Amino acid sequence: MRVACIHVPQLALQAVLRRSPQLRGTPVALTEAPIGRTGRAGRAHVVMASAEARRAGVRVGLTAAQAAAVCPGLTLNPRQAADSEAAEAALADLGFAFASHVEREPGRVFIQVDDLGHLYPSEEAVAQVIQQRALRMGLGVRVAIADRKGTARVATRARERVVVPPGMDAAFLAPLALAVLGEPLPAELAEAFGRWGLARVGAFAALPAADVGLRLGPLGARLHRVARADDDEPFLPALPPDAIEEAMALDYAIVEVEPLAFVLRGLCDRLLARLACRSLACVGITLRLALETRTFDVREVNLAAPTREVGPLLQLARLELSRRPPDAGIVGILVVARPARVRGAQLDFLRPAGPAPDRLAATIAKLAALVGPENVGAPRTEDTWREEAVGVTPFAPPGEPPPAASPAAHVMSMRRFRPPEEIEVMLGPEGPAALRGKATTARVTVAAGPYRLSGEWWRPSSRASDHYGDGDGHGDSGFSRDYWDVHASDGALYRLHHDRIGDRWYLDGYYD
Amino acid sequence: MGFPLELLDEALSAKLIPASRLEHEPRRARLSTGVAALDARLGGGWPAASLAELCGRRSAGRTSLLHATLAAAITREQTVALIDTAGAFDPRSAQAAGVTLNRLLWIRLAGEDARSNVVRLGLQAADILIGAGGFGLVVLDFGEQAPRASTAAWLRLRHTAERQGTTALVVALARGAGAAATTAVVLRDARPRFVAEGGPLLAALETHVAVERALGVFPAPANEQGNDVSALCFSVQPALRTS
Repeated sequence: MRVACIHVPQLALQAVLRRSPQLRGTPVALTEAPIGRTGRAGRAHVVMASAEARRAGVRVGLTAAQAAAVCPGLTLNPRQAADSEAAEAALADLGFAFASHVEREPGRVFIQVDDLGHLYPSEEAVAQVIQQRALRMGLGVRVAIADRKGTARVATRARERVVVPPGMDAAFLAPLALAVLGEPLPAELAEAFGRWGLARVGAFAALPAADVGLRLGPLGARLHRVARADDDEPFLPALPPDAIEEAMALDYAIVEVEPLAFVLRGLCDRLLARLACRSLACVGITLRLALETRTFDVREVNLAAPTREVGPLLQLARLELSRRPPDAGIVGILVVARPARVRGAQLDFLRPAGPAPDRLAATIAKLAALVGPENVGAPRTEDTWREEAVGVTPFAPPGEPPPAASPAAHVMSMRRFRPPEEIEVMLGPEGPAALRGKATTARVTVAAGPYRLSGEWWRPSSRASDHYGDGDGHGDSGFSRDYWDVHASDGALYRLHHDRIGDRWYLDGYYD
Repeated sequence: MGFPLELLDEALSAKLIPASRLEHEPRRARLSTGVAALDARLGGGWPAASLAELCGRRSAGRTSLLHATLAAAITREQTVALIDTAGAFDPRSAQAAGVTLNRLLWIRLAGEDARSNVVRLGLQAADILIGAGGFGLVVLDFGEQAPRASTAAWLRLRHTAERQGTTALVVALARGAGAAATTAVVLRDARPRFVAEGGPLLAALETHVAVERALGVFPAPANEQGNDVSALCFSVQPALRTS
């Protein structure tokens, strides 16, 4: 069995750099304030520093003030569990990008790479691709491929990228310094090795196993098996997590939508990159906003179809937040992605290719952000006798071909005024004789009607003006109308009605 | 010493193509208007991958022709979208005209903000839709407005449509795209027809169609010079009269 170990050195620091990529190449240090006996946080100390910071003299254990004095351009970040958890999850997703089974341990994952030989020319190429993929996800990783987990783990401590040839684990380990066996090596073992004059793994491996176990205990015996490349550590893969989430704790409360959208972009970018690792797309996100008032505001952002583009997702989230801003400043954000498989589109040689499902979803999301989600979709006739009633359903054209059209005569259509315009009508012996509205004043030359229509009598009657209040034809009360088709002197062919309950006239639209 | 004319002919023959050997512009695919008479006038229908205009006054028959076009495109399994700037789309009459509603992407511009920026928002929505690719027909319905936009905006719309193979159809009160449109159809002189059945009863709308611009149609329609129009008739679906 060939195993690859993917290791993220200084995971907590890399997690910060992943969250804030602009800090790459600059001196950065992580600080942690120990909790004292009284339960209060003590002075913050440096627990991790980037290579740039270390070059400038920043060392682990310095107080934040000392570190800032040593390196004036230093960026100090408090260590956050959310960053590290997100980076750990991203590392696991990296593993799932290459294998269906992934074993996780803090800071590293193991995957089986036997089958990847069919996809890549060599194991060296596999290791290289893993590193490139990790870089795209904002992580710098070390990769080692070997026969055994123990060898691969040790190899990541020694080299950036290494492929140990099959059967050569012991030979590879022999010249390495003994310090690579641990992370770090326990003090009592290091002391014993010093006492015995051992410096290389090969010298340690040459010792008799029984005597090593007697003198160094179970830990020493296990390390000895690793050094001899005969450890029997099993590969224990875990199932991929159901929820893919990214979180961020904010230093200062955010109250406006624009800065929040800026933060969200980074989170969504990272989420989609992780989903892409598993060949998944996003069909929606859940935003869990931690507010200053120690409460949470939870929002759902849904997409019509899975997408891999961050733009539409962000636009919809921004729209949702601007429509109903949070009640207080936001101090933390958790974004949970709802993963979905992208539907494969089967093209047909004889049928026109429609928009690709993910492109269509992105397009609908963009349109929803432009005109509002309630104004984009497929039109729907409502189950009512009200002529003006209309609804919108999500646009999802069925896969089967549409029914063949009957060669019917050309049908006259209508354009509607929404809501219907209230007008004044002068009545003659044959019906309406003249009408006057905001933009229409005309004599009626021919009036056809009335066509009486009533319904929804079970609803309580109310003021007539309520009938069209929301413009979608869903009045709160029953209706009783007399419809007329009139040809007016301005050349138009109007459809109007007399509301018999409110005794008012309305212009519904015109035939066109 | 005389110049050898044979050499000159030989040199020129590599550079020049005689008019008799010039190739015609490749025939453009067409999208049916849903009205056979108009299809015949337009050389098969609206030109695919281009910008076309359909204009006319109130009750001139534009919406009936538009619904016929939508129905024809959906029957041919095209993905179609309607940008309804006035919110005037009537699903019942569209359904009666043969439009399968769940295959139509309807975008309506509602609200005061949208109403005040109808042209800008409409063009923006059309740009998003056509730019996405895969749409056979995108209709930009300005209703009773004559859209005022820069020539650059119309040309951009046309070029996007050409690139994506989409027919962009602008429906408006009057022509606005000018030379950017490859086809312009204007409906005018419409008259309703009533029948007497106890009282007057609306039966049909008779209108006249004039093809004011039709690039790529050979020979050009006679009325492109403004001297001929043909009649169309749209009848009332009985269900519409009383819902």
